[in-house]
Amino acid sequence: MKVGIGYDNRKDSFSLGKNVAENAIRDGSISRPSLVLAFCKGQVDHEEYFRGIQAVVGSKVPIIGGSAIGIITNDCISYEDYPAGAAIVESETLRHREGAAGDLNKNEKLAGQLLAEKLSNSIDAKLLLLFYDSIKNPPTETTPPVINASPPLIEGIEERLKSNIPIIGGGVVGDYEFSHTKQFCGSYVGNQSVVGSLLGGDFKPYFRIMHGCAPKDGIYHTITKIEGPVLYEVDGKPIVDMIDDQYGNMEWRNQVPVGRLTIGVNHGEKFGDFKEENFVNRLISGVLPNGEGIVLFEPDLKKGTEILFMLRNNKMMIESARKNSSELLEEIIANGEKPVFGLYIDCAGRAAKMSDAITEEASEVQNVFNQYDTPLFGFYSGVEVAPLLGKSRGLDWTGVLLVLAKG
Amino acid sequence: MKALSKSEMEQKLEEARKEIEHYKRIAEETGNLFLRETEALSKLILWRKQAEKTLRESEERFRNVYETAPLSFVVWDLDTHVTDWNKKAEELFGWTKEEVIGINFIDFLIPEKDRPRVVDVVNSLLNGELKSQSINDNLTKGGEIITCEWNNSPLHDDDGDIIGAISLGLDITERKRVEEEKTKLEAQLQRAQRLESIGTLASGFAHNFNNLLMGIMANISIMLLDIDSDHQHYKYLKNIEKQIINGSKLAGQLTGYARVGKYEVKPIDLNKLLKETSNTFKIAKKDVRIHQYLNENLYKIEADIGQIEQAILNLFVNAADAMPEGGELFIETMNVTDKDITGKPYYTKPGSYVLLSIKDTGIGMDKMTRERIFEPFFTTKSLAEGTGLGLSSTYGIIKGHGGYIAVDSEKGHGATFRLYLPATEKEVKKEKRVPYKIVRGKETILFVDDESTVIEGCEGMLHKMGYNVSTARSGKEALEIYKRKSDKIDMVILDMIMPEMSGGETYDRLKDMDPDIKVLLASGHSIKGQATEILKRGCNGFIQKPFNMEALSMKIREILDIK
Repeated sequence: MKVGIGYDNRKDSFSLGKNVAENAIRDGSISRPSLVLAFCKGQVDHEEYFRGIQAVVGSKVPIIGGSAIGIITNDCISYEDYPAGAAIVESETLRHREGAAGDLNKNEKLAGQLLAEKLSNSIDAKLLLLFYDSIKNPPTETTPPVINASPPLIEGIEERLKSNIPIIGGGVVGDYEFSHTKQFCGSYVGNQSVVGSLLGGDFKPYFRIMHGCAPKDGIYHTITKIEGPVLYEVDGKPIVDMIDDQYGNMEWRNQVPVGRLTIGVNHGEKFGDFKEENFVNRLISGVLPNGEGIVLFEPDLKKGTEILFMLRNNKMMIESARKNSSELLEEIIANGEKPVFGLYIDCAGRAAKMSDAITEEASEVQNVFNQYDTPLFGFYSGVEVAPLLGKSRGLDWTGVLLVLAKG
Repeated sequence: MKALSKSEMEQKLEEARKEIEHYKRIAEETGNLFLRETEALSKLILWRKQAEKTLRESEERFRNVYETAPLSFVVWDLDTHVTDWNKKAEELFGWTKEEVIGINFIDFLIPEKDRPRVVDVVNSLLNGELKSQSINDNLTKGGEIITCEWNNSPLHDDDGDIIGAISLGLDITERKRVEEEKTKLEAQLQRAQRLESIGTLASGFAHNFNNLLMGIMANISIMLLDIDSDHQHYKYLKNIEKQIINGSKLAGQLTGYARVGKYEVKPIDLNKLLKETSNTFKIAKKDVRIHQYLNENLYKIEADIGQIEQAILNLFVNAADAMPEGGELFIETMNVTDKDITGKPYYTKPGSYVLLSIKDTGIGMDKMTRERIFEPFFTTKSLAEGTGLGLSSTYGIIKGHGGYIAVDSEKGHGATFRLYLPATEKEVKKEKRVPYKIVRGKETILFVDDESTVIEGCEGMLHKMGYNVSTARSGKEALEIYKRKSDKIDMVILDMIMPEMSGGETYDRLKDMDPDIKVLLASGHSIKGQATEILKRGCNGFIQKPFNMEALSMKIREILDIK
């Protein structure tokens, strides 16, 4: 298996796609492309970009991916202007099948089922790469963005797929304004779509989830009123008032999404030692205009769920990226295998611009991959999807690192 | 161990609950504190990022200005070695940045003569002077010397110590040249203005002088009419008349200097005039060889032939005086335009001109002589040799004709006078010469002049010629007389310069009273073409004072005999 990574940043979208593909072909010495993972900034003309890539790889090679806030490769991390990138895979032994489904905004579960049906009866799969439109409705002047929920989507997929295949991928966003996005669905460009690639063959997938949130105070609160993604009360008290008290003011209400505070669910031992990998965090998209509740990025929390207020921690985020990527590659090497390609699905909130970090957290991953001379391709996402505690989930504020290794 | 009672256990549990609440509050407050601090830190980082971005943009803007500014930026260290050098400096001085970095700018940029001054500027800056300005010559890579204006400011390190300076240079070579040219022109203009004011004085003097001569001439004319040539006083009276004519010529030169009128302006052929004047001059100055290069298709000029002849003759005489041992005189004519006129202190009127160059191989002039050559009474000769009015008269005549005069000369290298006269498209008319004699008449003439001596003399002359004469001493009196006797007065002889009501105004009023009135204008001079203007308004003729009886009689008949 050979993987070449291409990157470019220019306004002319067709040239952008063409250059990205040519750079990837050159980088990986690719002669017969099998599969293309491609992403580009939201303001790029996606159709033209797609056409530009096809102009290089041909129209028969599936292209999956879509919008992204930014691009990560071995050499660059960029979310300014018109960044775009692609990973082109060439392999005789990689078996893959692509499928896509639309109308995600109407019914996430149904879209998941349709996708799974297109992918089923397929290869002896080891992994499902999944990319979907995160934005159901962009924000308005008075309302936070409405997100396509990952739990019903994943539920729909898992219902129809034969076995418990790990799902790794992300919900795509194209800019920090949460505008509508587009998806590369193999042979076409769609929206409100989910695209998947079922991978099998001569490789082994490894993955890690990079975190970066820690409990604010370790105090559990029980959800007493929640409707879909809108959380109104915990412990019988209005959650907005509680957060006002925590900040000491109401300025946080102007943040979309809220920058520091998240909502976490501990899937591990309740009062055990803090283990980041046991926590699922939920981004607070914003506050309802009437101040009665907060809107969560995913609608998967229920009444009675115990939550903790979590704080994003840049130091922990950077250390987590360094530690997990390093450990993952060490593990692969220790297993007598060779890392062939890394895919990093990184929450857009972790970019230095958004997290107020001094350095880019993704550069830690970059450094490790460059040490191992392994191709790295990544993008900044809205939601990250990866198995956590034995179940594939949509995650917030995480970085999901997937590595394909060969024996 | 003693078992606890239920109440004791409940108490213990209550204590434990309180302790848990206490620690929960501590944890919550600690968490809140951390949240607030990290939020504040976030804002700080955001502010820092914005500050860095602003700084980056500012640096980018500065770099942009630095590289695209029309100023040369030279950054140098304590040893005056160049540490930076922008694109404009590359363009202006010819050296690339790579060529000059690390090189002492004084060695390659400053000419030897300016170095001590530049070193002083450098020392002042490095010793703490806030900034300095200097203008000095600079060398280019091509060896050219250019002049730059420099603004220098010291550069400091973080501790405030001076580490060098930045110099912003503006190429002012062209500006300097223009300023020098402007200064030169201003000096020329001042000279010209001085000449004009002297001219005004000279003009007034000539007017009065001519009136005096007119009075004498009139009386002499009457006396001469009454005696024969064998009379014992005839010779003396003729001598007086001759001296009056010489005196009149002297005044004529003054009036010429003062740009006094083109009395008889008509299209003339300058080449023809030059040939005639040269022939006359050749006879008088045989040791001067004259070379003529006259353009056969030379434009005609509108001029008073007598004045132009006088101007040319003055230049010939000046050339001859500059060549006491003899020499060469080159006369050249050609057609030019206003754009070809050089060394002009005035705005030149657009159009075609005739250029007359008169070049001698004489002793030439130094700068001081050149600058004063057109001033009246300025002469390099002894008092006994000349009046100093020749070239000033030429200057006035040429200016009076709307022309320009320039001189190039250096001591020991001769002189070239260039006369530019406006060309005309009018054709030259052939003239009939009228024999000069006293022609008598019987008509009635009103003679108007503010000078009693002139009135008395001229009244006598007119009577002798057979005319009836009325006199008026002012324009107002003339109007009153004419109003009463218009049917009896055949002609008015009118002085042009009079106090209160001028000749011009008097003429206009007379003309209003009688559109067919016949008027002969008389004057010692005319200011700024006043005579010509009055003639244009219908005045019938002009006679220049002092005039004798013959000239007056001819002029009167020319006018009265017109049907």
